[in-house]
Amino acid sequence: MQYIDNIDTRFQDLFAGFLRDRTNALSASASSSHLDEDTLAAFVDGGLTLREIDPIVVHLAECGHCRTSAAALLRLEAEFADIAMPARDTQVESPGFAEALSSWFSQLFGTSADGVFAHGERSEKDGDDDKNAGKDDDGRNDAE
Amino acid sequence: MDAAAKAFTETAIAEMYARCNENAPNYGVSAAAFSTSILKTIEKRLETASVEPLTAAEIREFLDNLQADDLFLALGCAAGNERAWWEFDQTHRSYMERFARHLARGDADPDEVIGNVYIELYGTRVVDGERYSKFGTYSGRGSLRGWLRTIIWHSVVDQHRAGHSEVSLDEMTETIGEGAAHAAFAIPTPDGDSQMVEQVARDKYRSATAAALSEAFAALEPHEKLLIALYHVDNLKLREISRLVEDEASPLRGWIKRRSSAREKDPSARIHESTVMRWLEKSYERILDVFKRDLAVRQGLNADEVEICIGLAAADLAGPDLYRDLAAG
Repeated sequence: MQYIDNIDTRFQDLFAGFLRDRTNALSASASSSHLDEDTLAAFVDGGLTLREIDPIVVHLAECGHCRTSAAALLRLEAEFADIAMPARDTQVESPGFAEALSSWFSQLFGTSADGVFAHGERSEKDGDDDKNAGKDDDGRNDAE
Repeated sequence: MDAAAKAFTETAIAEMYARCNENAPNYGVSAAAFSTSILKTIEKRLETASVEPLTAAEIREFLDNLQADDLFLALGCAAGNERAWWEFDQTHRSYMERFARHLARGDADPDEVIGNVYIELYGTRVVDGERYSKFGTYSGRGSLRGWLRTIIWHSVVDQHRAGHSEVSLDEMTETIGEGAAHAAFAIPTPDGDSQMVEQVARDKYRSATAAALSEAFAALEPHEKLLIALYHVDNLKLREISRLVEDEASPLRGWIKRRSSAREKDPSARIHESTVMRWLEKSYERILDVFKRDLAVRQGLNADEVEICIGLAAADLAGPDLYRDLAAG
C-alpha cells in the first residue's frame, strides 16, 4: 500500500480497513438502486455539471458497487488515454458500407442489412420520433 | 425552469442543432428529436439533482458541457439511420474492439462482447411497437467514447459472470462483504480467567476505536470520503484519481475546490498527483484529529490507551484486500 506522507501509517491501515469493512457492510445491506451507465460514464468523463455532482459524489462515497465500477473505468480510461487511434479514411464513400454491414448484421441477426434497416427507413420517415431518448437502461437504475 | 430560462434553453438548443445538422445533414435527426432528448435530460438529471430551482447559469453550464455532435450521432443511430451507423462504425468500431480485447484478457471472447454490444446498441427488443436502442440512453453528458467504454465494461463483466456462475456484481459484493466482515472482526474465544480479563479490555478498546472511527468518518465531507475510498478501498493510483480533476473545466475539480478549506493559490493550475496527495493528506490529518479527540475527550482515554486502540484495531483489520480483487475482476 502506498502511504500518504506525514500521516501515521498504522492509522492509515486502520482507517482503510474500517472503510473497507464499512463499504462491505453497506453493500451487503444495500437495496437502493445504482448509478446508470450514462451517469457513471459522464462522471468518469468529467461531464457532469456542478449541480449534478453533489448527489453523485454522495452516492459514490457510500456505494461500494458503483465506486468499484467508477474506479475500474477510471483505471481503464487512464490506460487507454494515450492510445492513438488510426487515422480514418474520410474519403471512403458509403456504397460499400451496405454490403459490409449486411455481412456484419447477418452474423449478428441472421438476416440481411435490408431487413435491419427497414427500421431505419421507418424511423427516418417518422423523423421527430425519439421515444428512446432518456430511457434508462433496464438493468441499472439511476440513483439520483 | 422559468420562462426566461426556457427561452434561453430553446434558443441554445436550436443553435446547437443547426450546427450539428450542418455537419451531418444525412443522419436524419430532426430538430424535435434533438430538442426532446436534451430537454428530457435537463428535466430528469438537472432538475431533480437539487431542490433549488434550476437557474439559467446551470443550464448554460450543462449545454456548454454537452457533447452535441456525439449526441447527434447517437440519435441518428438510435433511429437506425444508415449513414449514422456507417459513421459510428468507422469512427468507433476499431477502438471498441481494442478496448474489448484489452478487457477480455482471455477470460471473455472480445468478438462476442462486441457482437453483443452492437446488438444492444441497435436494439432487438420492441416496446410498444418501438425498437429499443441502447443509444437512446446516451445523454451526451460525457463523450460517446467514454459511454461506450462503460457499456463494453459492463458487457465483459456480464460475460465473465456467466462463465463463473456468479449471478451479479451485487451478489459478488455481498458475498465478499460478509466474508470480509467475518474476517475483520473474528475474535478468539477466551480461555481462562486472565484471558477473559484481557478479552474484556480488548473489547473495550475495540469498541472505543470503532466509535471513534465512525465519528471521524462522519466528520468528512462527501468528496473527502470519495477520494479516500477511491484511494484506499478501490486502490486507485494518485495519477488515476488526478485524471478526474486535472481538467480545469472539470466540475468535480471545481466542486472539490469550492468545498476544500485549502484554497489553491492559482485556480487554473493543473492538478497533479501531488495535489491529490495534498488533499488526501489534509483529509487524513482531519480524520486523525477527530479520531484522537474522540478517544481522549469523549471517551476519556489517555495517550497510552489511544495507542493500544490503534494497535489492536490495526491488527484486527489487517486482512486480504478483497476489494482489490473485485475491482481488478
